[in-house]
Amino acid sequence: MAPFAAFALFEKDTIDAHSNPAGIAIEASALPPRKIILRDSMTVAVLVLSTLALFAITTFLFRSFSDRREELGKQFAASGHIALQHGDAEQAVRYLRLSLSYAPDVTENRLLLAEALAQANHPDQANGYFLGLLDEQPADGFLNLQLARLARQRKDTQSALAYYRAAAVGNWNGDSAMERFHAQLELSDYLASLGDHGSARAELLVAAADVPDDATADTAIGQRFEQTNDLSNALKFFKRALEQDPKDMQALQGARRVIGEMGEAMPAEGTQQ
Amino acid sequence: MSVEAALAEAPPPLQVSDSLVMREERLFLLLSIFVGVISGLLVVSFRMAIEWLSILLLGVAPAPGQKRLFLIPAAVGLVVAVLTRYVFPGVRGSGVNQTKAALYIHNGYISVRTVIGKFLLSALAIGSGQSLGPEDPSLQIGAGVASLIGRRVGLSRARLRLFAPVGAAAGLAAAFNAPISAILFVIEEVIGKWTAGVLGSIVLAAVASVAVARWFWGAEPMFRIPSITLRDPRELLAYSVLGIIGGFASLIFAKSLGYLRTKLRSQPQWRQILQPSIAGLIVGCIGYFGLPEVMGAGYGAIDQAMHAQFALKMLLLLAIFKIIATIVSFSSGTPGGMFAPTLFIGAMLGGAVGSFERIFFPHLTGSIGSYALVGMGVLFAAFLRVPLTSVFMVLEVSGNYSIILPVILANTIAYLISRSLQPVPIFELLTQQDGLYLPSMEEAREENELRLEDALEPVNYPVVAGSESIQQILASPNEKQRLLDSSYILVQCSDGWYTARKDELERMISESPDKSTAQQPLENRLGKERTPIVFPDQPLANALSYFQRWPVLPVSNRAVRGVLEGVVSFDGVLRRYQGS
Repeated sequence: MAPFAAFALFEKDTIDAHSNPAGIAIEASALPPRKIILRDSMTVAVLVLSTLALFAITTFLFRSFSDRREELGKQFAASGHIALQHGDAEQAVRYLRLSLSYAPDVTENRLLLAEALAQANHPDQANGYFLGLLDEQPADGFLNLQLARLARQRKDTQSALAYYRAAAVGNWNGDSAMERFHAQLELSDYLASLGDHGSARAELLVAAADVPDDATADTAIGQRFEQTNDLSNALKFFKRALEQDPKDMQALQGARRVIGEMGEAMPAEGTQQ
Repeated sequence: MSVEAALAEAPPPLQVSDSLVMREERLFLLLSIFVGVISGLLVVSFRMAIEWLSILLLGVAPAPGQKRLFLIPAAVGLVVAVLTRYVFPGVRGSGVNQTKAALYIHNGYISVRTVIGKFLLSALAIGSGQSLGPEDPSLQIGAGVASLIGRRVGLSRARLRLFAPVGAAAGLAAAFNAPISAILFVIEEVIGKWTAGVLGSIVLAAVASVAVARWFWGAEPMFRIPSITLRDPRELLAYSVLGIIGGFASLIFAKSLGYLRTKLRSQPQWRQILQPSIAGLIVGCIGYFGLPEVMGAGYGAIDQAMHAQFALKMLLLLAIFKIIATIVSFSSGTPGGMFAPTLFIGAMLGGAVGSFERIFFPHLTGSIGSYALVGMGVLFAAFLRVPLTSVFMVLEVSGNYSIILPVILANTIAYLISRSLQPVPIFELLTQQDGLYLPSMEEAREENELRLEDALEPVNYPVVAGSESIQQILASPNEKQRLLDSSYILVQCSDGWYTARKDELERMISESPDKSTAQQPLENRLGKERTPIVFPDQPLANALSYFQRWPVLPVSNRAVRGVLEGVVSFDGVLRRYQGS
């Protein structure tokens, strides 16, 4: 006790209170009302000042603490980003986790971690992260597309279709029309891969209705119509692509192929008739 | 000097005016807000201190194979042990029992030295990687702040005693960012019952401290998990299994902790000083050889478990090694809490059950995060034995109310298993090991309190209307005889009941010589005093204080005014207490 007598300065034993177990502290009850009011006012003033001082100190320390955390968060996020660019998904996951432990509210890093997890072949973990993000942004097209791909990986057809459809109408950063179109095409491809060609064609028609003015997009949709054996629509989109970009070789080859197929089909149809 | 003489010479009891009582009540409420704000600020600083120390001592990216992982906890453990032994002797343990001891033994007294020591040493211990949590120390820091302010202001003993739990609620609320859970915990585990007198102050303090904590940390819940929908009711079976596993895990945890703590506390003093260091070494080795997640409070790992970041095997390993690490850290006497480790173990077990379900029953759609979340509540309910708090804690720390059904089911199962296999709750066990006899809140909650209805006797005394005069009452000779033969008479006045003794009646008869006095209504002659109104559902103990003045108490019906359910007498109450 002796070496730390300084603590005694803060202490005030409870003798006053002990002597009056049931009621008011004797010290207060012995004072005239005016003095009690003055004393209480002083107490409140001291408490207010102490609280303000403590608040100022805590705020100062907290700012410094937050800055350091933010700095560490950025530092590890940058390392994670570089690792991801170099294809080292496992290392990226480690860095991004560290980054998020220091700055958990940075959505981009959470997204990056989810992507890294997916690339590092941890579909369940990536799914968990994407779902968490989707909770905050349920209409986000990118998140829905990623979840659709993960659902596809684990052969959860129902979820995959739901996420694809949400992605095709969701909010996207950048060229949202093009992103929605690609999501729609991916959905069509998925349905085709499941052998549901009717639904795949229906999704293609939906995509065709909103196809952006872009030769590549027209070529892509033309190729898919060709795969579903809808030759007239395929030719229509190849032609549209060539109108926009006459040097689009893929569209040119596609158009030739489709015209050829149509030319072969027509005599056969005539024979049947 | 005889006792009677001493009493005669003693000064008269202190006369305390109503205004002073009011003043103290108001002051109590106002101080509760200050206690909340100051506790909140201290808890924010405490959490910052832990994180700073963790970065300084363990580095910014602790990973297996780093030598500092086993060197630092051992070295810091030695420092903590020396400081605990020689400078801050009151800081051992979690802080919950110390707060209860302050309430029940020390009249609300927690020294400043203990608060400072708890802050510094807990931050050092947790920051250096000991497997302990910051919540229980926060609770004690809050209680200490309340105690200090209460003493400086000069609150009465009764108020001072109640003030420590107010601060405890504030400290815990700020640490968890969960005011309801903190209030419930303090009521369930510290005070033991709902007391209207202190509830308002507890709520004010908890809300004030959470407001402060949110000012700094933000309003986000502690853990963010995807929303949960219980699509298939069969999943409740999986949650029930989680409840069973959690119940048994908590049993192993509690039994091992109780056993090791007793063993370590029986060691000589010089060995006890080495215990935190050895505990640090063990925890550090666990981190060094592959599981740094078990070091410290482990919130990061809980978050990862919620986002299905660990495989089944890893989740089980983390749960097992966290139990080991927490048992050695806590048993060694290192200051720090058990809340965070309990949540950690629960989250890992829950995540493991969820992963198992995902692998073997893929048609069930529950997310691993939801199992981890429910697992936290399960262990909280079973290990700390606070069933109500555990449910609200899960809801508050996740901000997700869709999980309520599985939480209630799993927590109840775990709680019942724990209760039946480990009759002594962990806090009571620790108290007993410390040589204290604090009330068991679990027993207190289930005590069957005797009520007035348990000592109720039929109304065998004459009942007369207060509006009648003595003359009317005594008009019939038979009635007069009946009244005079009875020891007490129950007088039904317009504003209540009056139990008149036989001698009072005789005096009134003798004092009614003239006709006008004899014709006065009885209730006017009895004065304004009335027998206290009591009802059958009130605690029997409440009646005891009335018997000195009123030997028989009429027990009124709550629904029909003026109708008696019966009476209670002092002898009847004593007989009931003696069980005869």
